[in-house]
Amino acid sequence: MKITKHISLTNKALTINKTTVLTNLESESFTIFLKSIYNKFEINYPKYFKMDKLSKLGFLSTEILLHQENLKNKYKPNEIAIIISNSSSTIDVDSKFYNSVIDKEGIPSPSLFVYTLPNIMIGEICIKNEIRGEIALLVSEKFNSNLIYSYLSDVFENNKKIKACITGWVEIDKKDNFNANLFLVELIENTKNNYTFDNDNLKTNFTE
Amino acid sequence: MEELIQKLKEQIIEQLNLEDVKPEDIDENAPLFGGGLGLDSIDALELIVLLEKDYGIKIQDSSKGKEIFYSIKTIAEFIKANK
Repeated sequence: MKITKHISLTNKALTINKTTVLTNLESESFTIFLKSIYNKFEINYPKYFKMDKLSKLGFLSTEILLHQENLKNKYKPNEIAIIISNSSSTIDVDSKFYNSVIDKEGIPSPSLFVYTLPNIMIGEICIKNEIRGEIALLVSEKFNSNLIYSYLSDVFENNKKIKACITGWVEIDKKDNFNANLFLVELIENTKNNYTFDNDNLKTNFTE
Repeated sequence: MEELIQKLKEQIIEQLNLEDVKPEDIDENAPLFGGGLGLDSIDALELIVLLEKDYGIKIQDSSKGKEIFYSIKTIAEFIKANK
C-alpha cells in the first residue's frame, strides 16, 4: 500500500505533496480563502455553496486531492473507501442549528439539520465522485496516525474489493480554525515519489 | 405583485445560498425545481419554512406543494391569496 498523494489545507496555506500552492497571506476568512481555491481549481459545483463548513472543507480538499488523478477510470465505485477522522465532529453546524431553533420562533432550518452528522461530509464527497465503497468517520481528540493506519489496514485486509482509499483528517472548530490533511492510499507496487502507507509516514506528512 | 416577486427572489437567493445568482437572473415564470437553479428537496423544505416564518402562511394541503412552488410567480400568487 502506498501514499500516492497528500494535500493539506489550513488557515495558513494549501500544500500538495509538500509544495505550497497557495498561501493565505491576508489571513482571509474560511469562506473567502476556500472560495479563492474553488475558483483557482475551476470547480463548478453549485451545491458546494449550500454545504456546511465541514462539508465544504472535506469536499474541496478531496477535489484537490483527486485533481488530475483520474480515479474514476482506475477504479470501480465500490473499490474506493473513505476513512476520515476529526475532533469537533459537526460542532459549527450543530451550534447554528441550535440557534435556528431557539432564535426563530422554534422553526428549525432543514438545510442546517441535514449537516448535523459528520458523515454527511463523506456523503457529499461520495455523491460528487460516485464513490460507493466502505466509509467511516472516526472522532478522536487529535490526528491519530495509528488509529487511521490500523483501521485502514483492516479495511484493506477484510474487504478485498477495496483498492484505494481517501483518508486523513478534516477538522474545523467553532472559531473557524481548520485543518484538512488528506492522503490518497492505493494498493500498488513500489513506484517513484510514493511513500509506504504506514504509521510513520502518516505522522511525518501531517501538516499542522 | 412586482414588489412581492422581487422580494421573493432576494429572499430565496439568501435563504437557499444561491451563490453568484442575482434576482434578475431568475425568471419568475420558470420552474424552480428541475431547472437551472439546481434546487433539491431540502430547498423545498426551506421554502416551506420561509412562507411560515416570513409570511405566516402554513401549507395545509401538502398535495398542493408542487403547484405552489412551481415558480416564483406561483409562490407570489399563493402568498397574495392567503395573506
